[in-house]
Amino acid sequence: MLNLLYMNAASDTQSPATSQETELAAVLDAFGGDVEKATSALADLAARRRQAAAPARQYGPVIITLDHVSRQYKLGHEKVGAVQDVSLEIRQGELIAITGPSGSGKSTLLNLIGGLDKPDSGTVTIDGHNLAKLWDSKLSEFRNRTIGFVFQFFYLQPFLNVRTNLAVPGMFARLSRTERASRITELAEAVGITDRLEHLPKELSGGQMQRTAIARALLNRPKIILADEPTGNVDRTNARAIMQLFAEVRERYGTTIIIVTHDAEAARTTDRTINLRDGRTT
Amino acid sequence: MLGLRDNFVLATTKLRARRLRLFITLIVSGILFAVLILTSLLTRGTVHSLQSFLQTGLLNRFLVATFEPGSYRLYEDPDFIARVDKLNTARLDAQEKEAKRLGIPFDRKTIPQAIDEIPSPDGKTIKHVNPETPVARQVIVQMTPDNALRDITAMAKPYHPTGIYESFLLGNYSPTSDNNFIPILNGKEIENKSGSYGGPGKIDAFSVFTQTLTAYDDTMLQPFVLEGSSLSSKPGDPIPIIMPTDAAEKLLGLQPLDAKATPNVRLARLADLRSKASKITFSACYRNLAATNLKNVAEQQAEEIATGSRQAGYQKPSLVYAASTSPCQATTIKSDTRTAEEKALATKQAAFDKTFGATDPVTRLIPFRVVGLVPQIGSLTEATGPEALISSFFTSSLGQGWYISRQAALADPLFASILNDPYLSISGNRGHFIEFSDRPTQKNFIDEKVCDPSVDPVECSKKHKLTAQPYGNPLATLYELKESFNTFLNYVLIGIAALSAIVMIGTIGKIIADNRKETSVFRAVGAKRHEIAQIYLLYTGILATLSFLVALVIGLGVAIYAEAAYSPGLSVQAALAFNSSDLHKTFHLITFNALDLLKILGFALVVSLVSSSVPIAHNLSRNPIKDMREE
Repeated sequence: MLNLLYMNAASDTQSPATSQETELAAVLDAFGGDVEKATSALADLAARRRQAAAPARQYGPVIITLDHVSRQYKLGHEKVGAVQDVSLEIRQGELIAITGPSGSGKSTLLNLIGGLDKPDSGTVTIDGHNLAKLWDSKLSEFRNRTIGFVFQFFYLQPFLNVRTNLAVPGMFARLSRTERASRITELAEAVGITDRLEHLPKELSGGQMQRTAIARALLNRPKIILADEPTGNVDRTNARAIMQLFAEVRERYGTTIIIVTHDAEAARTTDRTINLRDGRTT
Repeated sequence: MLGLRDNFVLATTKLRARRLRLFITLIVSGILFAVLILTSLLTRGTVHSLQSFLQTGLLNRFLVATFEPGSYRLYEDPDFIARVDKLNTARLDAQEKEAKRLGIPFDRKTIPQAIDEIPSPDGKTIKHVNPETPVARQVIVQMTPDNALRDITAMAKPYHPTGIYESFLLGNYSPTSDNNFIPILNGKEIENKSGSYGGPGKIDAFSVFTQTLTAYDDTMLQPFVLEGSSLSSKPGDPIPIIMPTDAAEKLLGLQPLDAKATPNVRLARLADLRSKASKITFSACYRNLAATNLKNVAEQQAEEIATGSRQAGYQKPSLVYAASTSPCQATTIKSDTRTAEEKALATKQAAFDKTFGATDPVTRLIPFRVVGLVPQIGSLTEATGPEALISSFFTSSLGQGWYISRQAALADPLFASILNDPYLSISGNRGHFIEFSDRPTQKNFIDEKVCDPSVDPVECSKKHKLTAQPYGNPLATLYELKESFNTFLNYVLIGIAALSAIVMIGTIGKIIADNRKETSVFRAVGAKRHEIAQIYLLYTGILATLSFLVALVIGLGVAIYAEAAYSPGLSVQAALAFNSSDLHKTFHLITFNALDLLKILGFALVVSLVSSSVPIAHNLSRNPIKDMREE
């Protein structure tokens, strides 16, 4: 159960060992008594230790390639470069955070990868498809089969129960009802919402809504999940649980997950972080 | 393509949003479409019922009536005036000569002039022929060949008429005219000397007997003959007659119904009259002009003698006629104290008059046999409410008056002499009816062969055309009503389409605008534009169908109420107005027509789909990222 995994992760932070207490005291001292900064530094350290201690992950082939991609928007009479000359490669199975301050181009980059937006220059190649060359309907088909979107505000259909909400991407993929039902059961169990399937979104907590949104994104078994601030609208505990859930999804389905986040703690749980500033990678 | 069931699931979720707005939309558009449904139900019902009622009388027949235009065209014809003038002079000369020969006084200035001289506006005088004079009549007959039937037959032939019939107005408007028919009621002649025709709205049938007594070919009268009665009669038998209901009431000694009598009471009265009509005995008195004049002289003398006898030195006339003591009594001489010289002069005068065309007085009692009833004259314009509407549109057919069989009349020498009178035949008393197999042929004939001289006399005189009109139905049959209604319905449709489109655009536009975020999410999860359009189109279709269902409930509700409230009254009124043979026939106001309902549903769908097309297209052209960001 993925739930147990993220429960354990939560309990780790609540039961520090004696050596950690000593370390905390030293770090507190180093940060002049600022508890928040000291805790953050320690978490960073722990993450690096976990990454270093973890066996080297074997990723799949490159699935996302951005080659000198730029995208400008008009703001009044001025043109603003939301994404400027960004080139990057992401492999199958990577869990990546895109971070940066507000307006740095994180969401634009995510939309370019998801085919919701088109670059002014450069090429975006996803799973071998140059998105610029896909017609609108082919692009929709591509999104439906290859990409799963998770949004900060969940965007569940308020008048559909959880089960039907989960089924929506399958409707557009023309999955049979039986196949959809089977996948919904599996995913609901995986994200821990089996007992909420017949409920309306308004009857769910924030965390349950986001887990529903993640399950919806997974219905068509996409190769890539793009999550825009997935923890932005839930509390700390749920944020951790959601990040744990992404990790589990990656483990279970080998999905490439790209998360746009402001949340440093969330970013720390990923394999790598792409930092953006003024539309450029740093 | 999104599966239908999935599409339905996604489309119906939109019905849960903006419920108040949706409710108002459904009610408003439902009312609009209910107007159409109601119109369909009522129109179909009314037309169906009318067609059912129109199976009786002449309303289901396609007739054109044409009457001899009279000789008025001749009156200003110089040739006609010259011929009358010449003949008149010759006649006066001959009369003068004969009077001289017989030794009787004769002053040509006292004779009614065949040609009057009337002052014209420019100060001159114009000659005007007096058609009542024997000379004028003689010339009119000479100059007007009686070829009406031949002309009408030739004119109608290309249209393959199913029959050409004749009618003849037997009586005359003036009591001093040639033929006078006076009805007899309760042993008294009912002579309308006052010129009053009864109370407002209704005309007393007896007062207009002589003006409306008309002989029709049997085929025209047959639809009005009561069950068990027949138009056929042998020479010497009473003449079959169809009379107004108020005349039957009087003859049966029944009190007329109160003006406020309910339709049911009136229907019961009609049923009663019909059952008793064949037992009615009715007679009228015929007098020619000579007999009428003699009767008038006798009545005047009786008055004079009654007044004069109270005056000293009053001397009774030497020849006194006996005033009638029983109905239809020929005027006889009561006392004759004339001298032998006076008698000889009178004999000479009689011989003179006979030489110059005077006829012997004829007085004859004519028994009739009642074979049918028609509504009281003027009664059909009195009703109020929906019944009046129907009645005023479809007053029956034959008209209101007194009708006898032309075939039966021709077997009687007296009637035959009137029916064959050459002057009366060409002076407007005779009419012809051309019957066609269907309305389009009737209409074609009217369009091509009929003109109205009061509208376009020049055109009428140029072309060989008839003065005629459709006969049997004042609205020129139900077909025109249908056509007019279809035109009206088209305007109603356009109006309703516009109004419902406005309502729909408002609601659908709002729902679509509300769902921009949802559209963006659907686009993100891989929905194609046409799949999203599909969802909204189905939603629109569901909305239209719901509107239609609301309309159906409203429309049916109102229609059923109207049927319950008005059908009984209308049935009675229609039976009265159409003089229906079956007095218990029902006039249904509503008739269901599945095709009409499907058309209205289709119309609702088209209107809503057209209304939604712009908001949907606008929605699909929006940038999903922008919409999500705005949210």
